[in-house]
Amino acid sequence: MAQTIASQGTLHRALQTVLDPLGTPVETKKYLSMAPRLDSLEGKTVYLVDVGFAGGYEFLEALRDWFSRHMPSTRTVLKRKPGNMFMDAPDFWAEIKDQSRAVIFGVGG
Amino acid sequence: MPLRFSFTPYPVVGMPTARLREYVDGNDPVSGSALAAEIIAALTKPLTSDEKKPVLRPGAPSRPRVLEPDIEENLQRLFIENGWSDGLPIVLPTEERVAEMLEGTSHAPDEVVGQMAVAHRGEFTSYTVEKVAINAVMAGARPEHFPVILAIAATGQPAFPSSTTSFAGMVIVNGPIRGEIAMNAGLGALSPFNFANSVIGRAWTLMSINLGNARLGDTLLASTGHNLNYNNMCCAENEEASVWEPFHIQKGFQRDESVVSVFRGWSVINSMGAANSVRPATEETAIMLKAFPALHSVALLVMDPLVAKGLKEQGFQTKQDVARWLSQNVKIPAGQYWGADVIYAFNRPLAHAGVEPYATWARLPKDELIAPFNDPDGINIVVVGGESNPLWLTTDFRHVQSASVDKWRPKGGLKRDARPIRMPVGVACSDGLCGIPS
Repeated sequence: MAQTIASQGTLHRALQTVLDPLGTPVETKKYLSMAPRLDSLEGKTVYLVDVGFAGGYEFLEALRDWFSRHMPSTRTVLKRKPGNMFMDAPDFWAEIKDQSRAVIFGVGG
Repeated sequence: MPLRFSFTPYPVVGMPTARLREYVDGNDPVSGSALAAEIIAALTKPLTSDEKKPVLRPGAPSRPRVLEPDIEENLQRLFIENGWSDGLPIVLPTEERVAEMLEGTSHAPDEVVGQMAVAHRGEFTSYTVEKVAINAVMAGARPEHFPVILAIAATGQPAFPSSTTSFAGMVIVNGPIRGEIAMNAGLGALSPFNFANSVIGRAWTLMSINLGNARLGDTLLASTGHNLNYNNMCCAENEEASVWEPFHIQKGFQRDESVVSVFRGWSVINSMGAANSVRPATEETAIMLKAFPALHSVALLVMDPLVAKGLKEQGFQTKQDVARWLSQNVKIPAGQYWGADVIYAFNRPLAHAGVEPYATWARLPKDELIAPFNDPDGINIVVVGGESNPLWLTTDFRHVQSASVDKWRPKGGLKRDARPIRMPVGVACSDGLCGIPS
């Protein structure tokens, strides 16, 4: 028995070689440059877009209220993104580009 | 992609208007700057050179196939401290053990099995047969289990995808492989008393962590987390004791095919009391289903064979008959339906877009009853249990995918140990029908 225990001790102290368990990252990212910034928001239209998480719309209502109090010359348009938060909405993206100069997305709730 | 973010105090959901105004007038809790000013600056402050010409971050450094040799104690610590395990000790994936596991399939070690990401719009990792074997060894599996584990890996589905909600998964095995590796479909099939059920379920967890890139607080934000993530309710369907068609046949496979089916949801309610003793099992199930939001009209019932027999005697000839009855008879007030956060998030946009029945439901008075499980095809049943009592589980799990096990079998037949490991419980599992010995 003593011999068995001793050999187990040796086993536990022996160096072991193990394999790495992680997968290989798949590089799928393609970065786009950001849109040029505006000089100011004065006199411009800004879309406030709720992507769909609960509470986001109500927060953006408060932000719209802030604009009306502090930057009344900025026109805000509060919108819900069509579809749920995981769905693409190409027509809506096109509307934003066409109708506004800037957009603030509310993500999360 | 570079973006300019600002943060509000969290959460905003359910906050009164006055509090939300305070948030807007207050500071970004991350940067400490005035929130509104920060948002304005994000839209007006000139771009930096990095923002104008963003460059890809260098990809993750290529990892060595073999880790630095060390003693067992240190390697166990390494795996736990690096977040490469489920917090429990693992079987160290030595070259020898992984090579032995690879004998459990005829597929080449470098064959790519699939891609997985717990953050499903995040960074996927791809993995080979050998990577799956490494995680199978870590879970304590033997080569006879490897075809089932490879089939799970081939779905590319993580057991717990990234969400602030706390997902749970389930894996059900059908077909001859159940008996060949002595999975438990019968008595206590969901309890920790079966070697195959335990190690296969754990392997899915470890694959989700290591191959799905699960990092708590980064890619995984489940608020409470879920205890089912340890084993994912892994078991087999009790085809032999069931009065109904096995689940894999329902999904288009042949009876003699071996198949894994993966499910995903959040909640499990145990019936506790016996079916049909006071009221019919269908009515009891309807009561339980009313507790769920009925998102996507999905549910999964995991029922003892005795419950299925009782339902068949009541006239439900198929699983689909039960699903149709539930679809028609589970009713909740429209106000309860629209008051659920996930319904608000997912189905309110459909109602706004005029999609039926959501558009109609959205116009109803709050106390008007609706049948929210409007798609009976979303309601599934698997028969599991040892016939000690007609009990069942009602879950909100969705059937995600089914995949063939047989394509992963070794050409020479399952690689079994000379004396396969079986747990010493008083049930017979040799034919896949684990139950109390007659």
